[in-house]
Amino acid sequence: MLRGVNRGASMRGRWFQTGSLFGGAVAAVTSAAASICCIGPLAIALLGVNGAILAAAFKPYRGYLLAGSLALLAGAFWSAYRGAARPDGAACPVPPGRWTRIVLWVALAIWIGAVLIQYLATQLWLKGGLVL
Amino acid sequence: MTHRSGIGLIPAGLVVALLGAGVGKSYVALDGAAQPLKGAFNKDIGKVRVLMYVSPTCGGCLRGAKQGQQDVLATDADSSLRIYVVWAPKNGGRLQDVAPVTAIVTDPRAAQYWDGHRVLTDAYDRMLALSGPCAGIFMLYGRHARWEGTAPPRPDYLEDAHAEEFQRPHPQYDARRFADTVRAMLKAGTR
Repeated sequence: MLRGVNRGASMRGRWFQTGSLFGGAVAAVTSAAASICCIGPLAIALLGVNGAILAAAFKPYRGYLLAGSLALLAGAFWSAYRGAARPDGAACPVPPGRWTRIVLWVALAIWIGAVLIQYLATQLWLKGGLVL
Repeated sequence: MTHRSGIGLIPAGLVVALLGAGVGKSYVALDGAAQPLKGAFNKDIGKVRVLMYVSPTCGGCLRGAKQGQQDVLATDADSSLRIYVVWAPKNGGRLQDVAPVTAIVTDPRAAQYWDGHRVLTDAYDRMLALSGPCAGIFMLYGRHARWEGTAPPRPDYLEDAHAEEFQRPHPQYDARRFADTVRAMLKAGTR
């Protein structure tokens, strides 16, 4: 009985972790794309014509995307690295796999990149001509 | 045998698809007096004219042009409408950036130009006091507009794809509202 409850909790935790990680990574990538959609030839080179058009549609929502992706990533980190709180008699939780942690840190790096790009776009490009 | 030849068609199909995706429309590189555009503009007196002043390396401009194609041009087949798409060397745009983006506006009434000598670019930047690195201006000229001097005439109506972003004093581009204005102008001229 207890094992069944633990298995259910473990599955829920895994879904939460995967969902947070995936959602955070997608939102971070979208935000990064939206930030570079208008930065000179780099935008077309990286995103292509249709990609730049699509990214431009997300541009007004960059701030929300960044905030949302940060919250999702925080959830994924909490889920992956939280202290193992075990009820008495329960089995130890299965630690997240190596790849999960790698993807998590890569997603965080993308998020930081998106913030930096947004900063550059706002501070330099809009003031008159940063062209990458 | 049939199965094998069917598989062989897949890469051929991919190549055709990729080539097809990259094929743009032809465009004219303007000279130092923008004569080809000026000539076409004056030849089309009596028609309502849309001029898209856009950068080939700006997502907002490309999106605006695509919306213009979908919401303005594709919804009105009036033969007294002419469209000029002027690709401007702004935001780092270069001649080699133009070919792929000419596929965005597909309307047969449209002609596309590259303003490599910055004739329109400098004129519109001055005339419309455009701040920021991008173009993204969608203009409308009435049936009587004539291009007389070296600079193009002031448009009768315009919307700006970057008005809010660069805090420019123009109405923010809204393709549907722009389409309504085009229709009103077309209708007004036929009465």
